[in-house]
Amino acid sequence: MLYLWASRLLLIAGSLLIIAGTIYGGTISYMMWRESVSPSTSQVLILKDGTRIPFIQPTRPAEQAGGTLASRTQPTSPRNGPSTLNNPETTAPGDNPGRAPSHEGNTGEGITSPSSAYLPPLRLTIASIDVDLPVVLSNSKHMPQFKGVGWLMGSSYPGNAGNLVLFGHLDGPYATFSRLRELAPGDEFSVTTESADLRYQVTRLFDTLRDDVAVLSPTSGATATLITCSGQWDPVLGDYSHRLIVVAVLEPKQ
Amino acid sequence: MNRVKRIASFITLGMLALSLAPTGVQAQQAARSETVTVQVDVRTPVGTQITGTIVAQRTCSDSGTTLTDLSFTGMVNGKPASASATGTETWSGNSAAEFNLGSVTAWNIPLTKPTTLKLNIVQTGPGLISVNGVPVAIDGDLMAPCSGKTLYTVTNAGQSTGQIVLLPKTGVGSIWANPLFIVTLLVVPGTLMILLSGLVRKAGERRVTASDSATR
Repeated sequence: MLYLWASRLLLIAGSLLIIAGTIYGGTISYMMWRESVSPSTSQVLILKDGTRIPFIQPTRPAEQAGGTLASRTQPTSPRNGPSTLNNPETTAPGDNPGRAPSHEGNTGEGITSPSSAYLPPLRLTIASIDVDLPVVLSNSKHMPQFKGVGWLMGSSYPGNAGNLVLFGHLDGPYATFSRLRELAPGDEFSVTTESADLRYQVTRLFDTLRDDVAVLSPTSGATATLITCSGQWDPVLGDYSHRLIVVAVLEPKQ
Repeated sequence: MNRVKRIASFITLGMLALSLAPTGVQAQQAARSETVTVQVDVRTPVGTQITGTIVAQRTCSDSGTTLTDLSFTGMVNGKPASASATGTETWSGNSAAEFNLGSVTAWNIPLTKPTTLKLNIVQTGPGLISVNGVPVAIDGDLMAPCSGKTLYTVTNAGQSTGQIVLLPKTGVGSIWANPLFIVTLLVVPGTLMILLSGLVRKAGERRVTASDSATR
């Protein structure tokens, strides 16, 4: 009788082990296949016209960002100019009011970077609007729920080639960028890392639609894009209709 | 609950340790250092969302053991979190590493602070590693310490390429524009008024009854 039970137990235990092994092996195989086809760590910008722009920044310091990098990071199709509210107050002098502003021409190409290290931003300081806040890695699914600035995952590292994207809340308990609209071309702000204090100069401000993800596009030079909400609050969508975009370039000779 | 927290902190430190995992090359380096940065965005099985950056200061040596100072800055479930620790890593063969956490020097994370930790990290395929048997996605392949690669991205495996179709939502709107608030503003006082009307009616009836009794 004892042997019979022992035999049954072994049979059940063996079967369970085989089932567990098969499930685990199957899961790993599926993930290996999935990662080879479409890696989980990669991101892609999908524009309104369906254009897909890989969200990959140049992996070289700005001082090395030349024509090669520019061609490497150029989108496969021309970027759409962002739809704007045509707010003359937020448009840089010299911009054609009839033409939607874009990042074109603000790539910061050729600017010398003071830092070649890939260190994350720790703090954002915009003295003119009393912003001095911590910066943390973030994305649309995981936003700061405290008085902090989000650093978009996949965007550039401070002081390096590419588009450094920082965003903050316009209103609510975690409002950080409520006065962002007060910035003007020529204003400066600094992004602090563990080893450097990097200064950026604002080149333009504009409003764009909330789905205009082209503003996140990688750039060949060292640029920064600050984002907060603007426009009208849509209670149905639970979101603002527009975003205020502030484009800046890394200052040379730091 | 403690067990859940322990698992979550284990995974957090697992992510920390990913920056240390080497592959392929046996320790041939002279003593030198490098800074490795890892962007981490993972959701643990218990639902804890961890997003942040790990900076690892590695000191490589010919002995085959790499000393590393780790620091994490980011968020756990939207709240700020930071930690720092020291550890060592050793490896043998290709794509396999063992990480030992020596000490945690700072811990500002709402999860149980681990005292010791040992992790086995193996590259199981392109863009995929295993941390103590748990599959984790990584951009490309792991590289041995001080062999050149200093940037990594780590996420949950098997979720496919992330699609960005909207800019980050950075506003909560006015509470007066919130339909739920407006409904609450109408329904709650309305309900209270109905209840109050019943009380008032009953009070009136009681008064009439008392008045009648007094008349008789």
